[in-house]
Amino acid sequence: MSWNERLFVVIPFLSVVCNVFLLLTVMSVKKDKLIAAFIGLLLTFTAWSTGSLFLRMKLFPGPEFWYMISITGIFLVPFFIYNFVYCYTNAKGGFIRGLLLVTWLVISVLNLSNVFVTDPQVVYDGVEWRFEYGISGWTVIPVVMAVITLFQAAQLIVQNCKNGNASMGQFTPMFFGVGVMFLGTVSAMLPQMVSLPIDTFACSVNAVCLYYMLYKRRVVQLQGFASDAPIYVIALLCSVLLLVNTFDHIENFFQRYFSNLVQYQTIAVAVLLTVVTLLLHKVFYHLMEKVLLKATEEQERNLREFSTAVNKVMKLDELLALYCDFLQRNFPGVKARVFLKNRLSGDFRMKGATDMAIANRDAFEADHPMIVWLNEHPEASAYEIFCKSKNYRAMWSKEKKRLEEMQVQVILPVVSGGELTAITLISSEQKDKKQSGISAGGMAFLESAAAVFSIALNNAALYEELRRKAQRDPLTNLYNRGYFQENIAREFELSRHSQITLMLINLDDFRLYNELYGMAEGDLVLKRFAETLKTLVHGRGTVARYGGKEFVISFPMCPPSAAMDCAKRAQEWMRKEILYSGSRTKKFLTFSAGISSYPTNAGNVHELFTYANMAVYSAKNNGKNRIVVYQREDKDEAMAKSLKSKRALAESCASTIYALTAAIDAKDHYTFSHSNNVAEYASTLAEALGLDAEHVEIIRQAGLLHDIGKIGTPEAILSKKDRLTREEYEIMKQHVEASISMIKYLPSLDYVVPSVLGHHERWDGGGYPRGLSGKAIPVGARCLCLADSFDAMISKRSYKEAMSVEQAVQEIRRNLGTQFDPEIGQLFVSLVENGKIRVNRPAG
Amino acid sequence: MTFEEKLKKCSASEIWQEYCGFLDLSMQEYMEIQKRLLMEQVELMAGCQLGQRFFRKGVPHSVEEFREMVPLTRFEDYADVLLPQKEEMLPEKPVLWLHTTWEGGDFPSKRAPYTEAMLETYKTNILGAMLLATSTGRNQFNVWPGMRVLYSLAPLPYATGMFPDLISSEIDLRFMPSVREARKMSFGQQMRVGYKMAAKHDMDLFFGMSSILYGATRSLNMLAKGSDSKVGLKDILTTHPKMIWRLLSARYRQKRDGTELKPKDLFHLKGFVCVGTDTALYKNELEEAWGIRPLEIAGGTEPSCMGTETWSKNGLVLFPDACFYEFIPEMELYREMEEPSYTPRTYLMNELVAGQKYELVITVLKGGAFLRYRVGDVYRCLRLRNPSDKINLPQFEYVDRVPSVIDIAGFTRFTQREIQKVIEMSRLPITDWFATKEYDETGRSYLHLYAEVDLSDAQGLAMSRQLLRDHLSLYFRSYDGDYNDLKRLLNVEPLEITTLRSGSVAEFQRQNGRPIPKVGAPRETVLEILRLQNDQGGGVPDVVE
Repeated sequence: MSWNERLFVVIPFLSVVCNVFLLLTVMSVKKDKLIAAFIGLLLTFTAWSTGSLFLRMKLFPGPEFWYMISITGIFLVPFFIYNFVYCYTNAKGGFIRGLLLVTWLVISVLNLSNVFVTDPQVVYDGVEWRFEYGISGWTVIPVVMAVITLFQAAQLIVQNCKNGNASMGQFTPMFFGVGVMFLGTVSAMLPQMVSLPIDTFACSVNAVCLYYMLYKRRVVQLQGFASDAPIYVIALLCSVLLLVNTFDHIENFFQRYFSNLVQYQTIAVAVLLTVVTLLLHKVFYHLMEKVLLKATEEQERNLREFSTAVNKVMKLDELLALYCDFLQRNFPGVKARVFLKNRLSGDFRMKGATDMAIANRDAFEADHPMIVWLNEHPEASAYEIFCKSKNYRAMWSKEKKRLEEMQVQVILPVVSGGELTAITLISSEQKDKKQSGISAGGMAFLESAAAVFSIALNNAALYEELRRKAQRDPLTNLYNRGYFQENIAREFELSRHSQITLMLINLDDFRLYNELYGMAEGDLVLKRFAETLKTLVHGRGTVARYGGKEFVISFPMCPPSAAMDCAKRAQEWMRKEILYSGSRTKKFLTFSAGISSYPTNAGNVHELFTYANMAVYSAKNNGKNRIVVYQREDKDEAMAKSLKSKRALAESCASTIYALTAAIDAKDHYTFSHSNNVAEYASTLAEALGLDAEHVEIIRQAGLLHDIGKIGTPEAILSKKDRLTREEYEIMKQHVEASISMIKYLPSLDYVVPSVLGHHERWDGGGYPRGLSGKAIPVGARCLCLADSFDAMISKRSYKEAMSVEQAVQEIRRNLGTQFDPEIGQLFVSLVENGKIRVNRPAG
Repeated sequence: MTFEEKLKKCSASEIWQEYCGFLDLSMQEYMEIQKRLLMEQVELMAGCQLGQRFFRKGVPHSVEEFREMVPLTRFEDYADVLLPQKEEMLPEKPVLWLHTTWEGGDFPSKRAPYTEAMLETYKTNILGAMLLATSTGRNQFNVWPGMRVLYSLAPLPYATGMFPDLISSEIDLRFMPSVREARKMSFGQQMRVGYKMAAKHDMDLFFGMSSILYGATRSLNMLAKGSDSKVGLKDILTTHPKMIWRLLSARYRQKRDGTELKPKDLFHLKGFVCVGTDTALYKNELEEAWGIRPLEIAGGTEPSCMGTETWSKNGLVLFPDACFYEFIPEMELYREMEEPSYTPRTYLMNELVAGQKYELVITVLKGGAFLRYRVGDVYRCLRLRNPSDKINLPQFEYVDRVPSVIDIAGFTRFTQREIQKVIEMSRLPITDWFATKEYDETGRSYLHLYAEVDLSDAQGLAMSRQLLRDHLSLYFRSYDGDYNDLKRLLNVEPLEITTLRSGSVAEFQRQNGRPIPKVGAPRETVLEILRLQNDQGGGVPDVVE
């Protein structure tokens, strides 16, 4: 076989392979009229090239038959090109199409009778096989018809572009392909080119161009190349070709080496063909998969992983981080900014970005033209499309400039339940937009990611909403106590190297106010007061409703003067709003505020609360409607004030305390004198600690009342001479709660509760009733604990002998850091040792 | 992507959407754009000295506040900043200053700064108008690179002079003469060279001032007849065969049918854009002559290109992003003329009444200098929506300048001040006068001066109406360069005189208890005063109607 003959086999073969491959690929796509038209066109191409190939190969039933197939294919091509354009442009009216079809069918039938191409013959000139034919004068008819048909197709294209349904650019591959085909066919008639199979080559080029055009329109996908059927057919064709070309060698080989098995030769060849086909199929499939499917599969896997990951997180920050990470991994060359909708204002604020360097405070208002446009076009779009919209006209220059600076290329809306909930702006810093653009497939992938993100975002928003509700007080919408306590711990940590101030505000006589004006009026005041506090604090701190009539405000990094200023303004507001409200009934409502701060006096969060509480208590005791900043006083000043304060406190509570202590005295005299001693020791210790006069007085009163609950303890247990049994000890332990339940009914003495409640707590957490440890135990309780233990140790009881003072001191020392506060305990020991605590030997 | 690239790469509907998509806006969407862009302008103005001048009552936070707090303005309010071009006082740095003549005002000219954003909008809008000029419906336009464009609009620094510069940066059109050459020529030269080139090579698009187009159209036949002797071999060789064929066949038809040569015999225009006052008067005749109905666009030095007609060419739609528009109804205008201290009320685009005439008040957007500025143009709201074109926006027709200004053919404007000055300069014994704008039988506008001549004066006795007209015309020409151009370019004498009996004006005022407006008196008033003269006996000395 000459080279030229081989060329006439190889090129038509490649053309057949190409056409059949495309045909099978398109067959797997969902059929519509456009796909059907393309299949028709591919069939004519296949007939053309297959006829040409088999003609050269002189296959059964003979060259004449294959000639007819080939020439019929060629003659039908113009009509099928027209038909393809007709479907592609969605042209209306089928008369011309019908007319053309009939005309071309008639021409084809006439051609089969050799009207146009005469005397086709296959001749062998001794060197190669050639195909000879003559052309009649009637040939001008199909040529003119071809020109008319192609002109009609061109007209459809022009009309379509004019109507604005397509741009000329979309048809460029077609113009190129048809141009190449036309030139190929014409040049095949030239004497210089007649020895080259250029027409079939041009035919396959055209097929590829048209396939590309459909791919650009997203009618077909390249992934279709990797489907089983086309690959199998290609493998089969290749192996057949291989077999045809090597059959002689195989036969010789078989006869030389396996002459005794010649009867099995056919079977051997068949097996060989099958094996080669399977191998080729495997190789082709692998190649296609590598080229086309790998990226898609990876994307799908990433999407699945992303979906799984986002379903596991509920917090918005974590979700955003996952989303940004996903975008960065799948689109490494681009940057994404994520804007979330603020449900209250409707604005979209930037909450995340793939690159922290681009994160800033960009935001789009609810009436921003891009938001309005996205509400109408909730799908991923190129930024350019928005720029062409009518909404773009409403953009401010600086807004346009900002988006240009961001180099936005794609706008990806995230829609949930028909509502736009987020936007992702995808941008690239590459100057060549074509290079950095996201393909149609990429857009679809982005939309899938946005859909997954939207569900997760919705869940996160619901979670956030619930969390927000759980953190809020329903009446005032301020933070509640629980959240405030969590929050102040964080704020305290942040302010550890600076300062933090806490203010407690307690409305004076609010119960009375409610009784006078009704609960509704009371609730209204609380709401308005809460709003005022929020306005006054305005970002400097956190406001919470701490109790029924109590508010708390933290001021991180602020001195007490900031809280004082805020409290004064609040006082002013209350004076104007309540006292001079203009209503006929003159109302009266005030508040007392207590301020403590770190590191000025408090050392931890607990102390901040304790001291603020103390300051409130002080304000209340000094006539209410005042603001008190808690401060440790130096000794002289404290001493000077203490008498006055003590007297005031003693006077206000003396009668109650007297009544209670008299009751315990009547029941158990030991407890009475023990309480007096404890009160004495504890208040001395408190003074030495530098607590202010009121605090010292509170501790003294707590000392007097700390065992008041023993009134309820059976006398048998109180005066038992032996060790208490486990059950009896449990009953004995209940005296603490009993004391509290008695004191809490005395509002004027409720301030002693923390000290009384905690006087059996241990520094190491092993005490009762709450098992507090360290500095979480109120300072008053720690003082009482030492005083109580000391007095108990040096007292003679029915079940034990009295210890000496030295022994008791030794015991305290031994238990520093376990039972007792090591600092305060050491101070207590020194006070006893240097006689500042005057030891009263109990009567026993 | 330039406009030319878009023509190649984008579909017609995409291009249409970008440039003409505003025609699909609903009234509400239109107003949203207007209000949003106004607030941008307020923000820009609040940060500059010029703006603070008008925000004495504070910076407005809404459209309502803006209309309440900012006074209506005229060029006088800006003259001290704009004439010396004090850029530091403006809301944004301008990239261009446009001028226009204004002899009738207190200042010889007006200047308007253009920012980059304004030019960008101007460009988009003028390209939109160009698409519409060639269109037959939505998405149906016919523009391609290399179109031949004859351009007969006033050059820079007039506003129309910017069109070629803006368009040529977006699409390669063949201007005749080229933009560079045109810059070196006078307006008259530019027109002559342009027509000659068009006659040789054909033209696809025509931008021109209506009055000039009209003049050229009327004289084309005469020119064609007279041009025979001048045609040389060189001209024939350099003329496109298509044009020779058209000319010959037109001549043949002309002789055969005994008709006149019309521009449409020579040129097959794809688009025809005209600008200027009185356009409405010329449109039918221009359509008849050129075979295509001209598309009118509205604009000016201060407002830039602010409106265009659509494919049906029967009403202007104002661009939503060029200016913020307010409208003063005609009744309010007359009330203001009677009570100069009265501040007329304005209405917004969505508050108009079909058929009413309104004076336009604009706030130039995108960093422009004018706030609630009275341009001095009166428009009629033709309809509030156009169901046949599926346009849901009001459409307008340019009526004229405000009554206190007489605009002739878009070339020159007369005000009371200017006419008074000319009369004083002429030293004619005119004791009292008033002027109106009227039209002749061909539809051309002219200034009609009603003058009381002192017959006791020897000079007055000798004065005929023709003499009076010639004398005043001479002074008008020397005082106003644009008036001179009118005469030179269009060969028209836009002045007519009617002499009134001495004391007629005072008598009218006495009888009616109101003065006659010096300029722009309603037609009814004019008729009334003429009737009054007749009633007084003796008839009107020399009235030309």
